Parts: sequence; C-alpha cells; structure tokens
Amino acid sequence: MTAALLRVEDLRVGFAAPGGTVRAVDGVSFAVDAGEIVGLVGESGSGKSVTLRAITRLLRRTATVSGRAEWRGRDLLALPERALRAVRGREIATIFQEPMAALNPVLTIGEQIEESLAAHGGLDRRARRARAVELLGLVGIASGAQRLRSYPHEFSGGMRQRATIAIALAAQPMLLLADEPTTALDVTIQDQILKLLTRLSAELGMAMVLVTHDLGVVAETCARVCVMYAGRVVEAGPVGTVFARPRHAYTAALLRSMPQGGAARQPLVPIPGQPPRLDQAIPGCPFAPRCGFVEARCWTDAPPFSQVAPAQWAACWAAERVGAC
Amino acid sequence: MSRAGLVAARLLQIVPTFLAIGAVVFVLARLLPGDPVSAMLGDRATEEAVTRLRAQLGLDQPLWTQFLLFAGRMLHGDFGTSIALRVPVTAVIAERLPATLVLTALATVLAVGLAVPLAFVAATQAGRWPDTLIRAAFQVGLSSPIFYVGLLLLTVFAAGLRWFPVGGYGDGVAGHLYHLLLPALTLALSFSAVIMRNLRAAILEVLQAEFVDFARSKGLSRRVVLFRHVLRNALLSTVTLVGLQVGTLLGGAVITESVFAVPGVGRLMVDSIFARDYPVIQALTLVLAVIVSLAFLVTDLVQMWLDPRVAR
Ligand SMILES: Nc1ncnc2c1ncn2[C@@H]1O[C@H](COP(=O)(O)OP(=O)(O)OP(=O)(O)O)[C@@H](O)[C@H]1O
Ligand code: SF4
Ligand SMILES: [Mg+2]
Repeated sequence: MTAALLRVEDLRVGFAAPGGTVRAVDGVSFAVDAGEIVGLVGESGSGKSVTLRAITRLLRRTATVSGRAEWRGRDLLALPERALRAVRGREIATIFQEPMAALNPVLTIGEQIEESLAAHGGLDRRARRARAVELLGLVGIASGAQRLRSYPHEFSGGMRQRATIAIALAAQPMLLLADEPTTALDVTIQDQILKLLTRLSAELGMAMVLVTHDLGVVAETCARVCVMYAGRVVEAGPVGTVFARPRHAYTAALLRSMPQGGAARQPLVPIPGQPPRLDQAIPGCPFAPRCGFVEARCWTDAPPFSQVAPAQWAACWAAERVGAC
Repeated sequence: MSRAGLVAARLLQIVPTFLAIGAVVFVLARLLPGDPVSAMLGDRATEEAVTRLRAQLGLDQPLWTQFLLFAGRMLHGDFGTSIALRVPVTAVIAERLPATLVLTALATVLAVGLAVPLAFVAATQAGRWPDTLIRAAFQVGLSSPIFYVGLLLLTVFAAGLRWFPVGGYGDGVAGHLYHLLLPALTLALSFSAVIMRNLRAAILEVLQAEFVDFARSKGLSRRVVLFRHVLRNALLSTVTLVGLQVGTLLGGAVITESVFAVPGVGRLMVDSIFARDYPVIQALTLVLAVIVSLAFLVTDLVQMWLDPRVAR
C-alpha cells in the first residue's frame, strides 16, 4: 500500500453559537492517494464543505479546528501561515460550488489566472500570459487571448466554472478539492464539467476530493467514497464494494432512495426525518432516530468506525444485518 | 452598450441637467420674498423710478421672455451686477469661488485620507479593541455640530497653541493651504465619519464573499487578498457616497467659512441673502448646482471605470 498523499485524522470543527458549540465536523478521518478521486457524499449540512475548507484552513476565525491534516509528511493544521500559503494553490487547489461567487467581479479572468501564477513565482509577465491562454485552452475555452480580457459577468455559468478550474490548475496542484463543482449548473453543462475534471485528473495525475450530493456522479467518477452524516464519516471504501454491499444503515438508505440502476444526475431523494442538531452532544449513533435497523445500544453507545470488509469501514452496530440485505 | 457609448451618454445627460437647474433657479428667484426693485431703490423711490428700473431689468416682460433672456445671459456668463457690491456678479464669484473649492477639495482629501485607512483597520480588526476605539472616536466626530468643532479647533490650535491662523485665506498656494487646514479639518470630521462607517460595513460584507476564500485558496498573501480583492470591491459604494456628499459638504462650507472668516462663496451666500442681493444669490445657486452635478458626473465616470459590470 502506497503512502497516502493526504491523510485527515480525527478532524473536528466547532462554531460557537448561542445554544452551544455547533460540531460541524466531529472526528472525520480519511485518506487520499496520489492521482486518486475520492467522493465525499452526504445530505446537506453533514459537514462536507466545512471538512474541505478546514484542510487548507480557509475557515474564518470563528471556527475552532483540531485534529491533523497530514500532507506529504507535514500537518497542514499546524503549519505556519507562510508555509501554508506555499501549499495553497501550488500543491492543493480548491474550487467551489458557485462559479459566479468564486470569481472577483472587478478583475478580468486573465488577472485572476495570472495572480495565481505570480503568487507561486517562477514566470515573468509574458510567460504568465502565455500560460494563462494555455490554461484556458486546457479547460476548453477557445480564443483564450481575447477571453483573458473578459470579466466574469461576461461568461456563462459553465464558462465561469471552466475559468475557476483553469485558475485552480494554474500552478499544477497535486490535489484538487472540488466542493460540488457542478451543482449550480445546467444538467448538460454538469456533464461536461465532470468529464473535464476526470479527464484533467487522469492527464495531469492530479488527485481529487469530489464533494457531491449525487451518487450517480460518485459511481461514474470516483474510485473510493466516504459517506458523511452529522459531521462524521460513517462509511468508507471502494465505490464498487460500498454500492454493491453497504454496511451502514444510512448508506443503504441513501442507495435505496436513488433511482434504480444508479442513473447519473439524479439528486438524492430525501430520507424521511431530519438530521440531528449539531449543537448538542449525541450519545449514541446520530442516525438512530431515522434508522430502520436501530437496536437498543444504538441510542446509548456510539458505534466504532471499524473494518467490515477488505478496504471497507463502517460505523454501524448493525453492519452485518445491513450487509446481508 | 459599449463602455465608450455609456460614457458619451452620461456626458450628454449634463445638457438637460443644466437646463433644469437654470429653470429651477429662475423660478426660485421669483418666489423669494421681497421685491428686487424695492430692495435696489429702497422704500422711498418714486413710482417713475421703479417703472424705469423694472423695464431696465426686463421685469415688465412676460415670464417666458424673461426666462429666455435669463438663459441667454447665463450662457454668456453675464449674471448682472451685484446690488450690494455694485460690481459684476461674475467678478464677485470668480474672486470668492477658489477659496471654497480649495476648502471643499482639501476637506474631501482629509476626510478620505482619514477614513479609508481607519475603516480598513476597523474592519479587519472587527470586534477587537482597535475597531471599538476607531468607531467610538468617529461617533463623537459624527455627532458634533460643525460649528462647535470649528470653534474648538480654533480655540485650541489657533488661539491657544498659535500653530495656525485664526482666519483668512493667506497668499500663494502654501499660504492658502496653511490657512484652510483647520477649516478643512472641521469640515472633514463628520464627513470622514460617514465614509468610515460606510466603508467599514462594505469591507465586512466583501470579506464574507466566496471570491475572498477562493483568492486565499490560491495561496495569495493576506496583503494581496485585502487590497486587491477586498478593498477594491468595498470602495465601489464609498465612491458613490463621496460623490453624493459634495452638496452636503458645500452646505457645511457656509458655516465653516463664517467661523474661520474664509472669503469663500459660502459666506458670500449668507451675506447676499441678508442684503437681498438677488443677482448674486441667483448666480451662486446656479454655480453651486452646476458644481454638484459635475461632481455626480465625475462619480459616475469613476464608478464606470472601477466596476466593469456598470457597462453591460
Ligand atoms: N461559519 C459557520 N458558522 C456556524 N455554523 C456553520 C458555519 N459554516 C457551516 N456551519 C454549519 O456546519 C454544518 C455543516 O455545514 P457544511 O456547509 O459543511 O455542510 P455541507 O455538507 O457542505 O452541506 P451542503 O450539501 O448543503 O453544502 C451545518 O450545520 C452548518 O450550519
Ligand atoms: S448504529 Fe444503529 S442506529 Fe446507527 S445506523 Fe447502525 S443500526 Fe442504525
Ligand atoms: Mg457544502
């Protein structure tokens, strides 16, 4: 087994709130190997975005973060600001859900690509410009030289997301953290952007964490999947194995709520009930109130995250019964 | 529409604006209480003299003829003769206008120079002691009447410490600036409080934007993120605010000029109102309105230049 590129261990993020600390991320661990695409799925509010932002410390001062994010032998969560800046963009890049909101409205696309290049040095002005045109070509934006002078509002939604991908790829990162990169786009454009991301990942040997609501997307693009619920990873493993034989009752419910055959581009049909409040401690399993497999101990004891099959882990007391269905 | 087209369209708007200003000034002058002819000739003028002067001033003509005559004279820069000073109005205003323009410009520079850095510190330190201190200080500035602040500065720095003159306009550029520094500061104080509050709020809002996170995720330094991404976007609304405040500033100049004995149009306006010097009042109103609308024009052009989205 190769050493992981990124290893997140026991990540916890809390936000101070009037009713008590909101535990948005509550002990998340996962790893990403070089060149690999890992899917991060879960309902709205399960802590996917907060997890991604915590890794390169993009969260605001109001968040308290603990745990480790080991990146090539160093803990990003303990790295000095300056060293962290050298990692951001250059080694780990991030793209967000809303391509319009991620671009600065008063700077041209060219300025926004070139400042990424300038931040990590090495190229003079002319070379930066040439590289920016090349990057736009890479993400499928033709006549890049003219497009560099465009402002974000002059681009369509799909083009903007292509541009943010170009910006993210500017310094040739080894890992791309993609937070629902297609949710805000039309269905046909979603498809194009996903194909673009998987192609670029393969061509550039770039690893990717892909946050999505869409299990079909995971099935199509990811090698491994982490299922999140209430700020925790409740199940992780190879996509084929997890989808064929889920061992956590929540994963099983998610898969059941998906249209048969795993057709892509279908949003999750919600599971009845609400996820738990995150501002109060949860004694047992957070999924218990909504779970069809619930046992007595689920209410009192938190199920450990344990290996249930080769390369597959789940935090469920009923893993055997769920797997047998 | 292209950017050049929008700029041209905005420049053309100035024509109807000036016409409207002219019409309003013309009507206002006729609505003012008192009669210019009796003001000029005094109470004991003969009937015959009054009629002669009315004819001479064109006041016996129908209103629309009067307006055309008025507009024609304005276009030629002929504002008539001051009743009180007995010299051409144009000469009076030309003599007094520079002091006011320098005063308001200096006040604007001081206000912006004071407010922008402090708003920046307050916003980036939001909720901590520098923020609290800056906001408290500006709250005092905002709630103090110009008149009071002016007298206070005058007492401390001019009469007390003798660092600055107690009034007047001085000679030469350096002399003007030296004499106008205290009055400009007086005028700038509440203005800078308004800018500070607006800009601080704008910076805090922009700091929440996702493009700030994206900029940070690229590995940009804190300085680049704050200046290039945050401040530039936040200044968009502040520019508009500054432009819209020019009228208020000119109004404040009236008080400031009186306190500091600055020979500007603010004091001229006050004196002329007391003297019922209609030609001067009329011309001054016109000139000040034109200055304000030119300030709006410049604001819009700067806005277009700063914000690419304005030109669609
Ligand atoms: N700045 C913040 N302050 C307080 N609470 C926050 C903050 N950011 C996120 N949260 C809370 O943390 C929890 C996890 O949010 P997160 O955005 O990570 O969810 P998500 O899984 O990305 O959901 P979605 O699919 O809707 O994007 C939510 O309950 C949210 O309300
Ligand atoms: S631990 Fe219990 S409550 Fe939780 S998912 Fe498994 S069976 Fe359901
Ligand atoms: Mg999210």
